[in-house]
Amino acid sequence: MAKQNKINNKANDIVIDNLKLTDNEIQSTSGDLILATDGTNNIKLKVNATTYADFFSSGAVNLPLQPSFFVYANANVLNQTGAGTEITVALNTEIYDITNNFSSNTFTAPVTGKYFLSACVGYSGLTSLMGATSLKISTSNQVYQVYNNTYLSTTTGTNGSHNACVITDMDAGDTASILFSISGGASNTADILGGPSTVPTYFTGHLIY
Amino acid sequence: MTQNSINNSSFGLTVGNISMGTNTMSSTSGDFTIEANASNSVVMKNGVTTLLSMNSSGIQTLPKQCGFIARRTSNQNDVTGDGTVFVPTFTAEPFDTNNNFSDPTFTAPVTGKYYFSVATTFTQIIAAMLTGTTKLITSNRTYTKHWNPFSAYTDTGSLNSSGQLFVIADMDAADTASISVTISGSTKTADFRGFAIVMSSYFNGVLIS
Repeated sequence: MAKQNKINNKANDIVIDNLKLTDNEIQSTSGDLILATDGTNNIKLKVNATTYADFFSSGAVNLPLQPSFFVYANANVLNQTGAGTEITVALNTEIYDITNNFSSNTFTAPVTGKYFLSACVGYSGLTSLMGATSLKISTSNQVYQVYNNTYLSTTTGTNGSHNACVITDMDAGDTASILFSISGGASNTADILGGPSTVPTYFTGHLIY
Repeated sequence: MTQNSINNSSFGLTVGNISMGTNTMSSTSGDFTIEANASNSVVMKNGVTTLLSMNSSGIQTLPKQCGFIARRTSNQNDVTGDGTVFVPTFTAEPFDTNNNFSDPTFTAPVTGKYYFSVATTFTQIIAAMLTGTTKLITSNRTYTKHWNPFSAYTDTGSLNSSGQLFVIADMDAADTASISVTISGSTKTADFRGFAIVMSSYFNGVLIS
């Protein structure tokens, strides 16, 4: 006997206004919202064929369209700082940028929320006295600045790196970029490190909620 | 006129305390609602309060998820440098979504995994101050970052040096988190740094899952 629903013993789907109850799914009749199970006990929130949220039977949750990016410098950039010049760090390669919110070394928040931001800058070409580095995550609401003073004056020529992380509040349309400087030298002869294999200089972010 | 397909009524359908109507499934008491609104966003609400919002692009926010950032806006002078364990206090909160931070302590409202980001910046660092320890002290365990406050360049005394710590920590409901900093090797002359605009000393945490 063909399957029948238990409300009016008909084989039809049930439609209430623009909500339709059908096999494993509650959906709008226009298909722009579907709450579904997929036979493996996962729960999916979809718009038409696109999954927006995937709740696995284990309890893990995946949000494949949540804004997220990872960008890095793919080559060394010479003579950028050292005498205190502050630069906007150039990031020319994207590993991922889910909703295309990163452009021209700047991330633009697509919606209001809390964003995790993490930056790391690698550097080399230090000379004596280049001992103080400053890294800023500069957002529209706040500027986060931290300092790194490893004893570099005795390790001239070696590489170093400086990182910072924060979860910050951003409004839709707010921007974030990273600024970096090394001070103490006679001239701007310090280099920013880049490259695809070790990724010494990067900027990553993710909408947490 | 819109009619449902069960009883050809123009009303929505109520089963137990679950009501289904135009774009909405809700409890009849109104304390739980899932709706697809006119802009194709999916919204989960408690009464009129939005708990989860997913817009038509698939971007999700949880506007009531707990999270805070506390910052220092002015210096605290002569707080460590001789091994004194210094507990920073904070003077501003850019956000504290559920009021779970009461200076200098965060109290977890629910059991979960919490991301913490700590930046502790000092000035008046002199040559013998070679050991810095920044701790995040939670009820379950203490996380420690060792760092070197001094470099040749900071010997001028007026420059800044930061110790940072990032961690995702397990916390139970009502567990607490606070921070301490120790700088050793000299006299108690190191100043905890606060700026009016730039954030160099802050305590940041959010519930991740």
